[in-house]
Amino acid sequence: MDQTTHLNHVQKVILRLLISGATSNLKKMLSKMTTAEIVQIFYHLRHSDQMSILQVLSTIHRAGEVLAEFPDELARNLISEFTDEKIAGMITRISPDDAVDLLTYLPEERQQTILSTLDREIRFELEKLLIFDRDTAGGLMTTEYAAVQEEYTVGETIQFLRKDYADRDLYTVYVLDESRHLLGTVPINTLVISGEDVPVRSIMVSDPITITPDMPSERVAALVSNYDLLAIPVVDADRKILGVVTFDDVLDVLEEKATEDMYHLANLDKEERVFTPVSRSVRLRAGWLLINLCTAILAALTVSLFRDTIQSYVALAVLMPIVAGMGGNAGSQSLTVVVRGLALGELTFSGGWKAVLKEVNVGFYNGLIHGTIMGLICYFWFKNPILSIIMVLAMIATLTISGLFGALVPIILRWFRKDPALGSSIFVTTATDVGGFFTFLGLASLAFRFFPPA
Amino acid sequence: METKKLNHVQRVILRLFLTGSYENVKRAIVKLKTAEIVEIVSELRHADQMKFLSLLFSVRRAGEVLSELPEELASTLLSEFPDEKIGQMLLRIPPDDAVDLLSYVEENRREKVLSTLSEPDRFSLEKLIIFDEDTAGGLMTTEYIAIRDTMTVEEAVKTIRTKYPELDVYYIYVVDDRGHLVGTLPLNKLVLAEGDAIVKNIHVPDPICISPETPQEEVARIVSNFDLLALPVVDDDHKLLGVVTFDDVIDVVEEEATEDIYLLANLNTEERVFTPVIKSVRLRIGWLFINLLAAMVAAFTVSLFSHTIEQYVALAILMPIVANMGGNAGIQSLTVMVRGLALGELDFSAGWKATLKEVSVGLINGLMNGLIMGIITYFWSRNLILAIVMFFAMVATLIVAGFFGALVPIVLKWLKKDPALGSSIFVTMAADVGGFFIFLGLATILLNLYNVS
Repeated sequence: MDQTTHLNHVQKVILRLLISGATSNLKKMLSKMTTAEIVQIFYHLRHSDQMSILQVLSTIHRAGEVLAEFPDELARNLISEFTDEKIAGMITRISPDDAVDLLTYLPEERQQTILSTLDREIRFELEKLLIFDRDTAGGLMTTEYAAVQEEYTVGETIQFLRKDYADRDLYTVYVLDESRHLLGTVPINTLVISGEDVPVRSIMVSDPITITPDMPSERVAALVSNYDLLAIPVVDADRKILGVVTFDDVLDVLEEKATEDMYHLANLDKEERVFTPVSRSVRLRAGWLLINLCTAILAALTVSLFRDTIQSYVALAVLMPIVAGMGGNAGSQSLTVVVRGLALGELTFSGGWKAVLKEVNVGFYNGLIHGTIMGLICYFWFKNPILSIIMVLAMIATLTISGLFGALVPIILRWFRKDPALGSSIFVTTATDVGGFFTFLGLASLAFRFFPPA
Repeated sequence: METKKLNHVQRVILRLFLTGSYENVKRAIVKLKTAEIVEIVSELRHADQMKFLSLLFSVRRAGEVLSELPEELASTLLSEFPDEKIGQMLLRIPPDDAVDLLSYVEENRREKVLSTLSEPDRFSLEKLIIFDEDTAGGLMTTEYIAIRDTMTVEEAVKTIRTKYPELDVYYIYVVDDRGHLVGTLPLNKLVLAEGDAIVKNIHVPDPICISPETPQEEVARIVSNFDLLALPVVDDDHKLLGVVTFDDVIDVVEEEATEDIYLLANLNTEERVFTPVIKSVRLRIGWLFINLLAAMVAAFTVSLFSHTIEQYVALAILMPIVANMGGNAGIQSLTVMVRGLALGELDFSAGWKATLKEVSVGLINGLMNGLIMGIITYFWSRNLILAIVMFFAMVATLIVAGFFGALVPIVLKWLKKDPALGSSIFVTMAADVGGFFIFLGLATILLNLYNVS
């Protein structure tokens, strides 16, 4: 919390400087802050304040690096208000992969106009990266990496790095043959401990793990995380090096993926953030809520089948929320375990039926336990043993159904190559509501035909 | 859903193992990386896994593989090794991994395993054990390089060459004469500097550092915000205790994400897809019971109006719609907030602003869906009063859902609890109770007032 209080203070000072128009003080203050700190204070500012601070940042040449760290939504809104020349200035100051990210926030025509104002060399570089899909290794990689020829010695390599890489982060040197095929990697710590005259070829790690530019970003993330890699080189079909994906990009991918899973489970669009403007949030959520309304009507229709029974015995209406509430919660438990299992690769198809069977079992036992508790409570509340028995059976049925659909829905979605979390909670809730109400009210109307309640 | 593809070498080794040519397995396994061996292990049946690990032990690689396996599997396999062998494994892996591995051993065996080690080895592990697993102290390793600020680059390079030729590091830490951390020196700076430069003049002064009690999610957030490869851990006196490296942070990010997703669904973080049924039942029963209590509060609210429902059964039919919409909208608000708090995009000072936003979104979505539902109710029941009740109930429920969906995680965070913990039960209950109360309450007043049948 310490860092947060500090940032809150900084934020207040910055706002005050902004309002009083003390631009030169503001510049001084901002230039002392790291990019991460600047990004932190941005989130809950008004759009106009965000814009003014970015204008100041662009005069100290830091607008680009700050924009590159924002969530998509925020960055897209802000960058579109800058002029073409300013954007061109920004993107030449940041690494090519970040520059491409910023460019893709703009419409195609603007991308072209901005690109046409750049130096041929930079332009060519960016155009090469622009062709890759954002969610692939090609979209993640940077073309800024250090590479040397195989016949270089350690001393020559260090000379070369001193010339071109003095101010950049650098942890691995890639060793290439004369037609840029990747032969091996030399971690920087090996360079430190090796003698100057040793050829890099003899100290390199040969046959490093490589990936192709079309590998989906989630697979890249899994690879980097399983193998504890700092960076992973991207090569074409010919094993020519194209670029490098670094671990910080992978951290972003992992966070993004987690957000996506969580959001899809709650029926949210992945674009939304805490401070997305109200009108846009409404638009993003309206669709799923409308679908939810339709499925809720299905549940209501189920209830309406039994209106006569409810009329003659209103305790049923009182108990309905319990059946629905328990089914919904148990269903989202099963759903979440299965969705996360699929995402982390712990569950594959072949294990699908086993997982379904397990969830059905868990649902059955939990239904039995909570049904018994609820049956007892019902007995003391309404003094009606028939109602208690109905409650026990309904609870078992509902929780079993919730286990079945909670496991089945995501597996089926995956089979259709859809995101297993997408919209699945609505399906599962509908299934448990309809199934639960049907068993509960159906059993009641059947039983009360033979044993009319007092 | 592809089956995990093993590469050529992995397949050969798997075949050699299954055909029983263990000596060849031992010879070939040297070529594989730890993660590749882990992939082979997860392809094997349990009985074979044990045999495979004994082979790995004889080539001194069992420890590193076990520390990368899922916790549950690792502890089962470890329990079949004798104390001395586990002790030997601990010595062959970095201290932070060793402590993790030791935590997989049953509690009453840990002392015995430690007692097989020599005094200094034992001491270096015990220093780490005292820290909570979920803090910087629990994540850090004590294998790092620290040099004096007054050294020249040449001296520093010589020190590294002679003392740490095997160490896999990217930052070197710079300390003053009293052992206080004063700077970080990325290896690339060291490599590229002139030999007679003084370390003090080329290091990055005042590095970001953390205390050993820092919770792991905060460690992850700092590393990811600042794109660091490693983060030094210091004591109150600013003396270096250890280093948290990026590979641990990647694990934390995945773990924390699972935790948040699970807590939103009221699951225990230990559960996995193939946790045995009995254990799953035990792990889920607590939250389900709390949910049962919450659902009873909702049922009690309904029971207050049983007289009205008796008169107008249509109310009982429409109740699930009110509850369902409130629940869904509440979970939407809740999830946005929980994620925002986890990623550091939201903090306290902005809490009321976020709450206001969620309430506004609830109001507008309530107006839209209420209008739709009001019209449907009118055509279904031909009862204008009921349609109006439905409209207002929907608006009110979604506002209540937005309000509690935003407020509950903020309050939990303020109480220093995990903002996702149990919050969905509370939000659903608030939306249910609020929704039913307004819906049935309005109905009681209006329907009686206009005496519609």
